[in-house]
Amino acid sequence: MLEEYNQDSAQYLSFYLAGKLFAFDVLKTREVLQYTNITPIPCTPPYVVGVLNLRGNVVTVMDLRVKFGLGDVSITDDTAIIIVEVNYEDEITVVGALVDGVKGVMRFEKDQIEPPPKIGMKLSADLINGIGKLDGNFVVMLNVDRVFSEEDLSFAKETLISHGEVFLDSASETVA
Amino acid sequence: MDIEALREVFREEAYELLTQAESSLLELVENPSDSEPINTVFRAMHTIKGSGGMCGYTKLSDFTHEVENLFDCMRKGKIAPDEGIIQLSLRAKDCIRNLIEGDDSLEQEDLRNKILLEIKSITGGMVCSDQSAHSCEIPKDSINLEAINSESYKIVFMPVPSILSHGVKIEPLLMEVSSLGEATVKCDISSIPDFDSLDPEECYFNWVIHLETSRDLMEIKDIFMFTEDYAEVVIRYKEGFLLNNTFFKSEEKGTVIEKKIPSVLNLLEEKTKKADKIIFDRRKADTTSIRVKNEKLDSLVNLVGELVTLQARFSQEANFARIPEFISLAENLEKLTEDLRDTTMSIRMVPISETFNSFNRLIYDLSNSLGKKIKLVTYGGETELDKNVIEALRDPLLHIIRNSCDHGIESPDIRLSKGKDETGIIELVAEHSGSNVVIKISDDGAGLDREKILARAIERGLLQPGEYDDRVIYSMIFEPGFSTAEIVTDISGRGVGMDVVKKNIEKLRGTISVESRENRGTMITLTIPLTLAIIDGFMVELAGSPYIFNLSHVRECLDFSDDVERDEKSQFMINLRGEIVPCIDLRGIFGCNDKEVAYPQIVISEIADEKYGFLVDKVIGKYQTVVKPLGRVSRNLNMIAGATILGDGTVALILDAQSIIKEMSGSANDYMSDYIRH
Repeated sequence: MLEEYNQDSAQYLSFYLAGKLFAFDVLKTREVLQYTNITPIPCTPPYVVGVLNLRGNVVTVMDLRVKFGLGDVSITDDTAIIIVEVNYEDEITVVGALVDGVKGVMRFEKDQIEPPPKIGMKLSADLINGIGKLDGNFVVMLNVDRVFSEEDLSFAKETLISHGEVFLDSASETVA
Repeated sequence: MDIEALREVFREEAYELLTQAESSLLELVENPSDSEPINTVFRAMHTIKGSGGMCGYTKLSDFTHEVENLFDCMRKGKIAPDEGIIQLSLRAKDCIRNLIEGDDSLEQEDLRNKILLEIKSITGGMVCSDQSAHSCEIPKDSINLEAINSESYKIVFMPVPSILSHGVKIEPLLMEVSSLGEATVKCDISSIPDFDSLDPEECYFNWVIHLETSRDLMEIKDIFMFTEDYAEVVIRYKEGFLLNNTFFKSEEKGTVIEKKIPSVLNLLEEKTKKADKIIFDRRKADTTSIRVKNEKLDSLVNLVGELVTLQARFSQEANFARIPEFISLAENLEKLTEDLRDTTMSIRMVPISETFNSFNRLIYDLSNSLGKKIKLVTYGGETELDKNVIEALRDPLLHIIRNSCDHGIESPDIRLSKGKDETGIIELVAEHSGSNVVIKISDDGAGLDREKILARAIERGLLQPGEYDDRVIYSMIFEPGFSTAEIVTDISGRGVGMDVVKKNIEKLRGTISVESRENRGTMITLTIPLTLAIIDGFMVELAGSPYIFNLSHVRECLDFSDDVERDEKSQFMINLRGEIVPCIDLRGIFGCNDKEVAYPQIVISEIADEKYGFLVDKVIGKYQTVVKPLGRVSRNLNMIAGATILGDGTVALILDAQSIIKEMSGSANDYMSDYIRH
């Protein structure tokens, strides 16, 4: 029943990143939080903002702007954290995505969504489920599982290397 | 209750009984003339047979029946227990365990048949009568004897009310007693409650039996053997004062029983009210422990953790609001929460003795297969640890003990030639030390071969040639793939093991160290935190964020005077009362680029007997820390052990001091070797 329904249309939670509209499949999102106090984690890539307390659970937050190379924009009243469920190796991990602002939930019919273009995008086509058209605007529908992929969930190696001299030696040892 | 649920209960009970039986068998090795272990095994087998049959395990109950039969013969003195029988029984016990676990392969079947044949060859097909079924038939010639040599007994049988629900049938019991001789059975109905509170499924009767028989006391006791958990049985000679309290109290406790005599006698005479009380006591004892699923316990602990966090926040808000009623409420809540936390934690605490005892079998098997004589001695088995910790400790301990048996303890002739006792001793000691438990595993064997380890370490490039401290050399055994054993046995020597042991111990936030003396033995010391869920933390601040150390590592705090040179690796040394202490600037390694604070402080911590300093911005103090996993993210984040949620709702990261040091010393070593190479 649900499957059938999904084939014709689906709901997406849309949000802004550096002035552009993006969206997550609403079934992958759990809730939207206001920007709160986030504790930074040392030795992580720049797009890992830190961890926050979600009713007693510790959730990692990533900055999608930084991750997609869309520049650094300051925190405003609209800044929000979208809590999403990432499916990775049959295990559901809860991750927070820091975005500039949430627009709302929208319904897209199947014919309103086009496959991602092979070129002309800053993002790799892998990360995109499709492009939705809405009042002449494009909405980039992100693939939650791929956006928060392995590389993000176990970023430590990258971290060690990106943090330079201190860990270079031990990191290369682990690789070897 | 459906059959699966019933089987689950049976399996748990059976595992317990098997463990009991195993330790009794091993006791028997030590003390073959003791009858108590035989009785225990017999009872265990009988129960497994009965309950197993009830749950539909026919193969199990048939097999167990034969084993029970063997022990019945031993119990009756028809067969003397010897080494062979004990080994056979141990194998049989393993088979039973496998059967319960559902392993019914052909291999197992073969094994069982072999064991059955052996048992039959020992018992010679002799069948000792099945208690309840056959012993009603009294041999005719004994009747004559009775008249000549009969004795009067008074037996008081006081079952707990719930006895019927345990599947004990009382009527056959009484019949059996009566069949021993001339008996009058009186039923005491004085403890039947009012009709309102009467539960038709409970048994409120007590029985007093006057028995004239020529049989000896043992036989009477045997009848009540399987009711021991559900009834108080008092047997005494009518003439004279010998009174034998419930036979399941062992002989050693004889003095205690004697002391009880007057009171029990009183009870017998005015049994109306007081028998009630006994039943009540028994009933109380009956319900003192319940089985709870592990998951339930875990979620309880989680919830309590939440509550602790919430309460901390509440107290903070209350103090901030400055409303007296509010503050006193917060204080009461705090006290309550603390009690709740301690109680919850204590639920998960179990004594380590069970784990310790399970190694008896290992030692027994190993000493047989290695041809060595080894004895396991344990102290402090009553020391309690978190259930999860104990489970995680099993494998490391197993490895260490195997190593001790294989490499540590020498074979008997070598031991004799060294002037040692032929039997090697492995000692397992557990004791509390602050919020940690220290477990020491020591043997009186050959000790570690310092020169060989050094040579091997140099060969493998782990150390540069030179002079080293004993500790450095011995710690090499924890390196992956490190083994000096010339012969790889199936027990140990492959060089996997000790590094896995170390990893497992570190996963528990514990430490491991080794000491050794040539020909005197080796001692491995494990230091394990009592619980994984809540630790005593020590909070510091770094670039505006709170971080938490494990308080058990922290020794002292110092103000930092900035007159030492720091190299580019954020490491430096300080002079602590004449001792050189390496220090690590956490700011540097965490890449905090903002302005340094004017007065940084150093936290001196002690890890595996070595002191290290950590430079932080500010020391905040002790903090009760509920450990939360960082989830997937932390899997590769070495230096962070987890996170915790502070009173104000922010998240603080828990530092893994040990890993930080390891990372740093790793990079320092590489640096050094680079230096040497160039």
